[in-house]
Amino acid sequence: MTASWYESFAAAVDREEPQYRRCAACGESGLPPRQTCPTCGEPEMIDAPLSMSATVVAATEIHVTTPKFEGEAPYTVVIAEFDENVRLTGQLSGNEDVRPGDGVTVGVERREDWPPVITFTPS
Amino acid sequence: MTALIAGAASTTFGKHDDLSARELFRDAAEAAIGLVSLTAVDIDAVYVGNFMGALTDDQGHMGALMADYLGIPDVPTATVESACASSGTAVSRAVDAIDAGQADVVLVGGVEMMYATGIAVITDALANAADNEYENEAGLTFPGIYALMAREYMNTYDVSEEDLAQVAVKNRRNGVSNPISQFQEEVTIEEVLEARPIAPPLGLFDCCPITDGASALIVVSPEFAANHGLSPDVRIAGRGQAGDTLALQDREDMGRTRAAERAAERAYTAAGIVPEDIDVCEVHDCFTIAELLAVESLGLCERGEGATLTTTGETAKEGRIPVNTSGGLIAKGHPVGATGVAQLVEIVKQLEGRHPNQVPDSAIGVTHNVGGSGASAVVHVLEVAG
Ligand SMILES: [Zn+2]
Repeated sequence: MTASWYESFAAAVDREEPQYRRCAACGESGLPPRQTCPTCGEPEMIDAPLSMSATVVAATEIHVTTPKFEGEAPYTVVIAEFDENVRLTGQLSGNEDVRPGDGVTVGVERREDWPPVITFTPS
Repeated sequence: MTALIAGAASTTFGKHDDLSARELFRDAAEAAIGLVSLTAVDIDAVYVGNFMGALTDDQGHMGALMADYLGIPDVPTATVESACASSGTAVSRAVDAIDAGQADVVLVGGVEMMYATGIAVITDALANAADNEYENEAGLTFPGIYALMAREYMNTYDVSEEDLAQVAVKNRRNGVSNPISQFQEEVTIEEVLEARPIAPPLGLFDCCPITDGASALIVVSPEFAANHGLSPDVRIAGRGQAGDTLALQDREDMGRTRAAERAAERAYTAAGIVPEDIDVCEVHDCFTIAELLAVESLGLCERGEGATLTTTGETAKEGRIPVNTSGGLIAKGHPVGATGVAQLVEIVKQLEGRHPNQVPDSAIGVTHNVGGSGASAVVHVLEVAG
C-alpha cells in the first residue's frame, strides 16, 4: 500500500502545484511531509509551494532491476534538487544524458494498476 | 560493558539450496556451541538477524523457529530486522540482555537464504530496505542507490572508477585464502572495470554477490564464564548504534554515512579507544564505494581520502590498518541477515590468532555493519580479554 501523501503529492504535481514541508521555527525544508522538524525538533512543519523545475544532483542508469520494471532496463534514475532546498528521486523521461547541474522539470507518469512514478524531463 | 564471546562460527558462504534456513542456522549455532564446553540447554536467550525470510522462505518468526529447532523452545527469542544491519543489531540486543542481568548465555546469530529465489526476487527484496515511495516507485534499485552515492562522492573528491575497483581487487585477493568465502579467485582491475554494468559507475564486480549463509556467536557474562571455568579470549568492549533518514534524497551529503560516523564515535567512547588503536577491521563493503565511505566513517582517514588509503595499500592485509581480511561482503559474500555476526566471527578469529589472513598481534578489532544506504548502522569494538 502506497502512502496517501505520495498519491496526494503526485496529484499536486499533475496540477503543477506541488508542495513540500517547511519548518516555521527554523526554516528547514524537506519531504516526506513530517510534522516534527528533524533539525530543530519543533512540531511546526507546514505546507509550502514547491517549484516544478529542479537541478540534477546525481544520476545512474539502472541495468538490473526489480520484476516491476523488468523489460524497461536500462533506464536512468535521478536525484534532483529544487530551489526550495528539497531533493526528490525520479525516473528520467526519454533517453537523453543528464549531468549534475542540468535543469529538469518534475512530472508524473501514470500506469495502470501502479502507483504513480515521479519523473524528470530535461528542460 | 563486559560481555565475552565464548564461541563464534560461520557456515561456508555461497550456495546452500539443499538446506532450509533452520538447517543452515543450526550448522552455525552448533559449531559455535561446540567451541564452548556448553550445550544448547545452557542458552538463556536467542536473537536471530534475518531480513527477507518472509519473501525467500515464506518464513518469519525466525528467532522462535531457531530456538525450537535447537531443542530449546522455552527460551525468550526475537528476530532482529534492520536490513543489512540485522545481526549486528542483534549482537547489541544480546549485550543488552547480559548487561541487564536478564541472561548469562545468549545465542546470537543470523541467517539468509538468497540463492534459490533468483536475482529478480532478491533485487525486489533488497529494495525493501529503501524508502518505498521515494526510491522504489521511481525504479531505483539497491545498487542504484549506492551508484548515486558513488556519483556524488566522485563528483566531490578526485576519485575514479579505477580507485573503486581497487577495493574489489583487494577484497577478492583476501577471499582466496578464507575457506568460508564465496569467491576464492582473484580478479584483476581490468576485469572489474570491464564487468557488465549493474548501475554505473558500479559493475558486477563492484557489487557483493547473492549468498546463502549463517553465523552465530555464544555471548556470555563474565560471572558465568568464571563460574563455569570458561576463559574466552575476546570481549565486546564497546558498541554504538545510530540512524539517519531512510531515503538518500533527504541527506545533506549523499557521499557520507553519518549514522556510521555516530555509531563509531559511540563505540569508541564506550571502549575508550581512538581510531589509531585499531589493529584490524571488518567493514560493510556491500559495494566498492561503501568501503571507502566506511573507512572514512570509522576515522581511519580524513573524508575524501578513503580511496588513497586503499590504493596505497594501507588497508591490504599486510598494510597499516587491514580492512576486510575475510574478503568482506564482496568476496566472502553477503547473506544479509547473517553479515553483522559474520563480521564479528572474523574479528574473533583475528584476536584469537587463528585467522587465515592473520594480522600479527591483533588486540583490537572493529566491525562496521550498515543497514540500507545508511539509515541504520552499528559498530562494535572487540578486544583481547584479560
Ligand atoms: Zn525546524
